Amino acid sequence: MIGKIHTDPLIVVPRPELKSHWQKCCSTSPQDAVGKRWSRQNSKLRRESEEALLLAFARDMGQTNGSMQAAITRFQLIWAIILALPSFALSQMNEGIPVTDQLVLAKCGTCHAADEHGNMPRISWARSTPEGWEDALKRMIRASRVTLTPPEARAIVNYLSGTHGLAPEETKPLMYYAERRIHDEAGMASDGVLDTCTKCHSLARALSWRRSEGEWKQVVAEHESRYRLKPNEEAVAFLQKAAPLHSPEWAAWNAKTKKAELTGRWLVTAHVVGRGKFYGEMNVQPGSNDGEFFTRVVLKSVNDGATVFRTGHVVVYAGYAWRGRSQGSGSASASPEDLASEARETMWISPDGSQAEGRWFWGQYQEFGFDVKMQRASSGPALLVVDPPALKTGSQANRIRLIGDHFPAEATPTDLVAGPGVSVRRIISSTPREIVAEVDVAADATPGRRDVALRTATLQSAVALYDRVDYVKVTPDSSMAAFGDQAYPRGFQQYEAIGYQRGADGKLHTADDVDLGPVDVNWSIEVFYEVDSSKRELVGKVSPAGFFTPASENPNVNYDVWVVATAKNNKNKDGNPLVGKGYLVVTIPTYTFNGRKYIRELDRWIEDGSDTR
Amino acid sequence: MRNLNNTLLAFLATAALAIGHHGLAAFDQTTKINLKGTVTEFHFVNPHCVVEFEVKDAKGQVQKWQGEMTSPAHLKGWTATSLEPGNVVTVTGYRAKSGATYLWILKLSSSNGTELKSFTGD
Repeated sequence: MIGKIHTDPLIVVPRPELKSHWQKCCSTSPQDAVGKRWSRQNSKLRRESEEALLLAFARDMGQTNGSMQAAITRFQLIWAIILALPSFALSQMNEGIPVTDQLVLAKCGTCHAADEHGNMPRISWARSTPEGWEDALKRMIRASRVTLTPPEARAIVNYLSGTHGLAPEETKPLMYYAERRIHDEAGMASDGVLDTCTKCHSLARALSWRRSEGEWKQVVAEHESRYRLKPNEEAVAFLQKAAPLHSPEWAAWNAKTKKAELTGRWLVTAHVVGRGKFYGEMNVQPGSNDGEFFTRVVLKSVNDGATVFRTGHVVVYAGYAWRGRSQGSGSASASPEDLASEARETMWISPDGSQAEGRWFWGQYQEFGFDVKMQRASSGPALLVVDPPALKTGSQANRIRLIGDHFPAEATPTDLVAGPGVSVRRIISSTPREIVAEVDVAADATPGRRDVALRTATLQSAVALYDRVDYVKVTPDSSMAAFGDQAYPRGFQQYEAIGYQRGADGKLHTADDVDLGPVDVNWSIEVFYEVDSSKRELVGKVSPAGFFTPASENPNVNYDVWVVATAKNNKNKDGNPLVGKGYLVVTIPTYTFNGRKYIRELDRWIEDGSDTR
Repeated sequence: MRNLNNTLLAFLATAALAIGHHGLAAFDQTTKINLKGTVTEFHFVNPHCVVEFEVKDAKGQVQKWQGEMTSPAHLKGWTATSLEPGNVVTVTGYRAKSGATYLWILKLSSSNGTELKSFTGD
């Protein structure tokens, strides 16, 4: 079942059952013709580049018709440059990235025969993330009957992600794709490009690849042919410009060692939708191979003190791409949102190796997860969390908790600074990990987010000052859940109600609005187009904690639903409770059209069948 | 994910539900209705933007209506504040077949100048 392959975790830490996927294709079929075709393609590209230079020169001649001498001088200059640096100039346009790994040369070389420079057709003119190379490898296994053992597959992905990978700066804007987050890509490209690409996959899937101009042309042409799409020169031009093979970022990153050294103690903060903030620490130990690590993390809930222990195994690709798998201690309960559930971990490690952030996720549609930030522990003080996250102006004797590491032994009120209008009355308690203080907030204190500092440790935007909660926002404001059937478990959705205050512009629902953190609400649902509430039972239920569970019966119909949060303690100017709404689509698990079956995958439908691309 | 034909593509949900996920089957497309009311809430969200507004009927009773539109990406130039509580809107659209006070908005004009001149997307 290809849908299962598609959504299976990255091969970094495979489960035993994945083995069959990798070994199910058993015979190789040399495809010399393919290699020859690509050799011709690259020759053609080189010719095109040369022609482009000559055409540019011809245009130059035309524009300087009135001054032949100047043109001749320019002609001579251009030719001097071309003649002096022919290999450099042209290679900058066409230079491939040689492959030196013997396993890649052996396993891929049958079809992608390396030239005298070590360049393998297609492979040397592309770069991608671990997920991108994994997809490519799976495609080769399915379509070209490549035979690989799981360790070989892992080694190939590891090598290509390192030598033909993306720089950290190139990957960061696309992390939502690897982290399996639903993300609005509006504005990332023109409507024409978005319409073309996102009918089948996210734009991030395309931008996870960097290719030469010729490769992008070829990829788009293949899509046009395979999926019967209209020719789209705009998409080609966009991808050539937005995702080139060679970039300054990659050149800089590639010049580095690209070896991750993560061993040691890390401070962790995390957020789980519906559960609030967590804090704790992770101990990282070296694994059995370079770039592999074992992890042990302890996280504690800021809200209720509940503790989560997890152990994991991580592979770091290209020196910064953390891909792992972890499991909570003890056995996870039957509850799908159990924080002890086995999870995939995807994180981005900062280029200096001092911080990491990402998501640890699980669920049929990866709908559950920790949003994680980590920083290396040092010998100095570090401030991780301030709780509560918002204080009302004009309030007295607020108790706030500062959670962190290596706090001073005897903190005093003067050690704690939260800006004008916030005065620290006293320190109630103080330990190296937690300080409880009592603070007053002046009535005329300026609302908004502000930093909190404890001596040399500063937490940016740690606390918000507000005069009133102006509105309640349900997050996620746009979401999906799924009915289940015999083959596919249900997809759930957890919600949170966040209070907001208007920002400095005085308007609601604008970018400067201030997030005040979760507010207490009552949850309910409303089904679109309903004339009474009879359909709600067919759709599902939302718990008092904001957890939506689809009905156990699959009605074979999609429902649009409002998930409604009604504030318990916050009212509008008319004295009515504040109400927030999130748009939920409760969808069927599979979809059949023209005899083909499609399954839901995160936020789109993919065909469920053998893929012989 | 292969051999997707163009017909099917029109039905596929896309990144962030950016393209409409359902057709107009839930609405009576044989008759257009016109309404004038006051905005109480505007949801600039995927997969469909929704405006909630109140309409006074002939007896002076207030009815709560919801009007669906296309996705944010297809409402060119619109933002989350294009419609605000208190704006008076005039809308034309197809009412929900269920009889509920829902409609699919084909045209909209607001007292703050915001306009949806014609149906776009689905």
